[in-house]
Amino acid sequence: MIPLWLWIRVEEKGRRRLVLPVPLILVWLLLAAFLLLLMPLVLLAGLLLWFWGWGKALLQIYFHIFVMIGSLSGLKIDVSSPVKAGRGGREDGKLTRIILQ
Amino acid sequence: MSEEKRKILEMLADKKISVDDAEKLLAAVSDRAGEGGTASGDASGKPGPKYLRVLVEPAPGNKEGDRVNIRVPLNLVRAGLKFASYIPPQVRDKVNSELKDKGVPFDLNHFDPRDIEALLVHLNDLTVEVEGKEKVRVFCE
Repeated sequence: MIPLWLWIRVEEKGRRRLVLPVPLILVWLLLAAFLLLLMPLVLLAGLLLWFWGWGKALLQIYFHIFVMIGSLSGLKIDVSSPVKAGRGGREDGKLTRIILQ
Repeated sequence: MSEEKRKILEMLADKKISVDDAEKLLAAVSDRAGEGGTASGDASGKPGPKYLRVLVEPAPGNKEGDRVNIRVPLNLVRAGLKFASYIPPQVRDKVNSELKDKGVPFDLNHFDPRDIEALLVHLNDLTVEVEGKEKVRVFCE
């Protein structure tokens, strides 16, 4: 399933500070248009380079881009930085979270 | 006999994998053949891992390092690994020599996309812990 939203959350000490949903569908539409425009060139280059062994790889890589985009869903990255560490030990201060869903 | 089973038996004969590993792999291949689906899950019917997790935590006593928690879909790992098989033969030698120069003795000519599934089956049980300034755990869930 292709990810439709990119969520960026930045929290500090439990207080929600920033929640930014990015509609990836707009990015995919632009990318799809670009890749479709590129398709005739890729096919032509693939045919021309076929006998040198590069054509097949070029076509496979082109179509594999779609597979990669479709596999991005569920990617999550959390980074938490500590506030100034005191004697009581570590205390998480800022949490940055990026989720593709 | 399917090509995958033959490959597993060859790996066992070459002592690249243990008997237990071969049994797990054969069970996974049989399950997949029975279901007609993708390779996920093991012989016990437990659903297979979906994500590769990487956790980086500061070592005990280190109060300043960041904590990082990354969840990567295994489908993305599969897709990424398959890219290596698309590298044309002319370029592989260059990549191999560059990798060797960097101290990575990995030969792309011996990379087979079918090995990816075997690798992912093994990742199910993998936990790597690196102690130092940071503690890194890599596992599948």
